[in-house]
Amino acid sequence: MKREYKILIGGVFFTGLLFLIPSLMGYIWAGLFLSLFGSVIYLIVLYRYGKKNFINTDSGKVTLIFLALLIVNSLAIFTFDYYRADTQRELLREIRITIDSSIIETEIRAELLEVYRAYLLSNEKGDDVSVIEVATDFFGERLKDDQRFQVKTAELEKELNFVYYTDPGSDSFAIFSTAPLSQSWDDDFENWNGSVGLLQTKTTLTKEGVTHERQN
Amino acid sequence: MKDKTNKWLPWLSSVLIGIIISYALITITDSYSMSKYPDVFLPSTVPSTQVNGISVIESINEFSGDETTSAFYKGARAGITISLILIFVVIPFLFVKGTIQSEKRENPTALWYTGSALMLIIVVMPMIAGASKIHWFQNVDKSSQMSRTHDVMRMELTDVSFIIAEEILEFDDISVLAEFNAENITEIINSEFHYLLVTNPDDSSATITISSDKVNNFTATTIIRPYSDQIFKYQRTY
Repeated sequence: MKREYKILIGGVFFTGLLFLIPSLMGYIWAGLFLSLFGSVIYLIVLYRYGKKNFINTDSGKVTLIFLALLIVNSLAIFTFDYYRADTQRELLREIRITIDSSIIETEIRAELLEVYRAYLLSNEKGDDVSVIEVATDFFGERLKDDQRFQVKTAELEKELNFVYYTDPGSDSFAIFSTAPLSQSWDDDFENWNGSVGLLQTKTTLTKEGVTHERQN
Repeated sequence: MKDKTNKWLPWLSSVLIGIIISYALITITDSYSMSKYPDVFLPSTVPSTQVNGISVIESINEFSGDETTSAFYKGARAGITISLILIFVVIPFLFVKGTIQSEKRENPTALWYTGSALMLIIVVMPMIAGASKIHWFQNVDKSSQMSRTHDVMRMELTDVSFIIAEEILEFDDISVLAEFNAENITEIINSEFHYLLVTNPDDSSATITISSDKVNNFTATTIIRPYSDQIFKYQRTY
């Protein structure tokens, strides 16, 4: 087999495999850049082969310009597209967090506000009741034995998790909400359900009112 | 003069062939994009566009929690591999081999015309694609900044609405609501946005509107009725 065809076949395998192996392992961008690196080596070999066989010295210069432009342009556009993909991924992640935290706040905080209203009305009537008593009475069977809190809108439980926590010492009732599809700002944050780095909020009802904080 | 013309004539022919091939490729891609398979499956002169397409699909799957379509797009990797092999291996090879062949025969051969036309396409296409992508990306960036501000405004309004609802519930005498104004709330005083609070002691309700100089014509309003079944009613205008 002629040397030029050996170079061609080598280039096909080198460039193809350097992309395919990492990309099938889930690292598609690493595959693209590795493939570009592999093809630079191939193009150097091809250029040296051409230079040796060109009769006109201008042909070598033209080939070098074309190959250099190909590498530089490709590197620039690959880098730009990588940056763009990363920005789009971050944007989608941000949108997901915004949606989840808005849903949690409007749903859970509104529910605890209703409990707070019931608490204030009970105390206006002169019933000396605690926040925990009013909350337990208000939610009834929605407070499960395993600490799971069942929200009013059942569909939300497909994408969000809720648990409740009562503290008789400070007479407070808290709901922790976690969003399994929202990886939040601290990747090492330990969520109450054993997962790591997910969006988590804590909405607390005390006799002073309702507070809502994003813990991660 | 004639020598010079003879020197450039093959290159002019290559440019013309390149334009015809590019036009054919664009037509094929356009007709393909009308089909049920997305064009990430089709070899492209800019493979990073295909990789970006797959990345976006994977991000959307992550966003929606649906991983089922990811396997479908594994096949698109074959299209990208073909693109990479054509661009970085086969076309430069055709160009070099065509040049050697033309020099030996002292006239440009069909292989040289094919190689040089394709070489021109793969060198020029990333430049054109890059320019249009930069323009597109700037527009997207601008609109996402705007959406981000809208989200911040909505979230802040929600927070303030809850505070107002709580304050109204805590009034011993509802007639106090008439004197209640935005300056009573720390979150409003410290905010970078403008608020307008209108209270109505007759039905114990309040209406709070948020607006900003940064976003034209966007306002969001919450009607707060702390004693009704639906405590908040949200409205927005553009």
